[in-house]
Amino acid sequence: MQTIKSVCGRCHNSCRIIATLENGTLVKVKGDPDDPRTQGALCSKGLSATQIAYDPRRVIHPLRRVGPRGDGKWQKISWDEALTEVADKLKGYKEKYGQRSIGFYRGQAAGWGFQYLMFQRFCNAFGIVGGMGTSECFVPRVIGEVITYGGIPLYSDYDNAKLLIFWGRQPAFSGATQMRKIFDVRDRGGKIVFIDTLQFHAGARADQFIFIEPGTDLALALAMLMVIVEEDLWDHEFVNNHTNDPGLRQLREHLNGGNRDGVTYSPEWAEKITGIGANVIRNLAHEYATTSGACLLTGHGLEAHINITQTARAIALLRVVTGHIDQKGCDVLVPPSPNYNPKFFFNHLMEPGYQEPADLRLFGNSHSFIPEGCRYPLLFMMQGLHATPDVLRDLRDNTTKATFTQGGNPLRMLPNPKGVRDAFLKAEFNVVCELYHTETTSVADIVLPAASYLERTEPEWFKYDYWLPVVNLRRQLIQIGECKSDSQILVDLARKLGLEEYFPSDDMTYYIEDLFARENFTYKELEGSENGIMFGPVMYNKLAQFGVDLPGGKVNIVSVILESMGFDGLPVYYEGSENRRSKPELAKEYPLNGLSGRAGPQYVHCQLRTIPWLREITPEPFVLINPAKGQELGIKSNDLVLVESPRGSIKLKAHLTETINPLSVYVPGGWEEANYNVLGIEEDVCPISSQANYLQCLCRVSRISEEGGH
Amino acid sequence: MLKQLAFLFDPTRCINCYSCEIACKQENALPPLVDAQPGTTGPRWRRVITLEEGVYPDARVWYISMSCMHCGDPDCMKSCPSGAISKRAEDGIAVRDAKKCIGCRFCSWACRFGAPQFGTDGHMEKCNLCLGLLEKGELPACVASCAGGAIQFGTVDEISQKVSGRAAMKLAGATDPQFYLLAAR
Repeated sequence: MQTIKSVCGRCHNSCRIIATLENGTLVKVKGDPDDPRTQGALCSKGLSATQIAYDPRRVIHPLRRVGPRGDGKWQKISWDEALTEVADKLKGYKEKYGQRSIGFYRGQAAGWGFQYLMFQRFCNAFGIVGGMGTSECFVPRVIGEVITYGGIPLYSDYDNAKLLIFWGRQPAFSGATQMRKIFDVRDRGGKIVFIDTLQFHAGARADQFIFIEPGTDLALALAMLMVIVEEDLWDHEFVNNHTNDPGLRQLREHLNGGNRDGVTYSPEWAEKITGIGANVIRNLAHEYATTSGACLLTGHGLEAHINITQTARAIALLRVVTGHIDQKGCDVLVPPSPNYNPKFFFNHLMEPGYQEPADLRLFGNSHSFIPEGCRYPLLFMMQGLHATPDVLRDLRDNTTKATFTQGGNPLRMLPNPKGVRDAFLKAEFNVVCELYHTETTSVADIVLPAASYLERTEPEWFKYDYWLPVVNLRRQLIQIGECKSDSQILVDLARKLGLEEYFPSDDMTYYIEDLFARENFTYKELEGSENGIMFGPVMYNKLAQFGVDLPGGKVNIVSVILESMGFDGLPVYYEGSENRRSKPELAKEYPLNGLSGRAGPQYVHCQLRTIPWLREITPEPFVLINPAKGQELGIKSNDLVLVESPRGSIKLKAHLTETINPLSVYVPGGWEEANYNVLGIEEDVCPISSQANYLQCLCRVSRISEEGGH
Repeated sequence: MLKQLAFLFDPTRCINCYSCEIACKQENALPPLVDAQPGTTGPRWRRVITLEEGVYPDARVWYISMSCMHCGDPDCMKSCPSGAISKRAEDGIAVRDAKKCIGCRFCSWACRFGAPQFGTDGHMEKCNLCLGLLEKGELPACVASCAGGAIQFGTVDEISQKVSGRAAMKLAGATDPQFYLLAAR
């Protein structure tokens, strides 16, 4: 019997775990009570590690397709054979058609830390530009914040907060292990507010719950700004000295109708859009502005709307004008990762005049060029990947001849799954690194067996919530079949491609040491540390002290970057793709707001449906309907219903609940059997960030059969 | 002197995340049945129930995580014809003796909380407060993993300290269930 301290990797929250092994077999995983972020808590996903490790459905050998695509017939081949074939094909396409003919796509599943940085190194060394292999999320929100104050305040100072406002964020689904810290705020006399479309899970525990009309968060944020500006609740010292709009002259004019629509963003105006009473908006703005120690915790509910980047901007401005950004008890900017070695990435291969930055963190991309075919430069500069709409365009017009996908299942997780499948079928050669057979492996020519987080050693600093600047070592606990980590696959492939100059070792510790060459810790120290290594301080008030690396050197209330690109420098309200206000005619036929979102506390996106302990909690997909609406439509709980949008329909069971607005229905995302993306909208995207409107559309619901019927 | 152990549950901290259910299944190696019979579940020694009250937009939802209540005077023990269920003298944990259980299910009909579960071997099984962990000085798996810190346990003295000034009530019932519920504020 052996116990090993490691880091969970079942989602992005990186909770520390203690694994127990017996004769090399993983028999138990529990939370590490010494982890200051979790105090030993662990979620249902992390606790299912033994079933995740030994899932008999895993792909455990390299496979080559035999027979037509989609037939699901595979032949087991050796790693050497597989990688030789992949390398030959990729080299051939690149020589014949150029770098844009190769699509390297990156999904969420292997994380955005070390595995992702190795992906960037590979792409630069090979001379190609990577692309998104999943829906945009998080980064469109990050853009709005970074162009305002140069970073993302990912450290919520729970230990000193008195007011927590969860805005489109469900901590029971993502980062549940922070709930003890969150509830401790209330035990100390603080207050918890939720703004959401569904009053369930953590939202059901709020002291105040505010229902909002989906996709209208920008209107709420603008009206709150209006209250704070007009009632003189703003922080004069901070705004006048440290932002580019002293006196709030421009913002005040903008909110009072001085915008291109001539709309005054009053609480009364916002009430008509958001469905939130003007007095509730006023009180919330008051409370946020006047509570010292107030956090605004934003989440996935804000994303997946085409106004997300401006929504994130408006919420960032709430933090700025109240002076709450980076203060004690508020949302604090912390170093999001150790300082990387810029030489790790070989950026100069893609960008000959590349200047090495002094500080390089988080996504690690510091390109300042815009690659050919890129329509979303801000997304590219933030994340170093072509946006999904650009990826799909290149597939459809045959620019891309060969694809290589890691950690993603775009054929289920993008809106318009059938159209996405057709796009991938246009490529001549598809390679997918995966743990399981998925819709995306069904169009693959080669499938490479990827390792789960339990089967790889890597440094981990990424977190979802309460971003303590600590790096821990995730340790390989077991080996499954012939599976390899995504980064190991890339190293082996690079060496087959003749890129040994950039990948001189097949030992992963070489690359970890290279990545941290500028840091003041070594791999040995990281390996020897059970509690991780701090790579930066938690400090308040840095913006006032050090300024910000943005045009003008001050916090950008007016975004100079957006203005220079022809976008609104101050956020202007605009509607989502498809709702009762933006498409009134369509709404007569499809009167309901069809919402989607995270799959629930025990699933991540489309993953984990094969894990028996988790699957038996929610064995099948369902749609949440308000009982009043159910009565009107003749639908009872457990009836089989049809949910239709102008683009498609899905069949699933109804659950009636008072936790949802009668004008909305909710379909949890990620199900194969009833995939919300069949209903969703592919074409309409945020012009700044490429964010597709994939969590909300108009729909209608009808009963197919009663419970037990067929 | 008997130091009866009891659960203390804080409904204002439960978010229905299922950590406790899965922690329990892992610790006690409870097999899932979803593969064999889709839509069914294996034995659940602990489960979270949902209570919804009121009407939109003023509805309230409560989640309660429940397991065996280790009652002072348990119905399961009284109903068992083979004497397989007993209360430990030192801490009042209701335990079952696998060798004596005949799988008659009387206990599951008698228990008002639905705590006794039937394993794939046809024998009754249920929460024993993770006795094996307690003996090693560790917390029961559900208590250790609970995301919100909603589940606690201890003797009545320990519980009254943990309540720290908040109102708590003991679940009423003829069987004297050892379950204290913190009041919503």
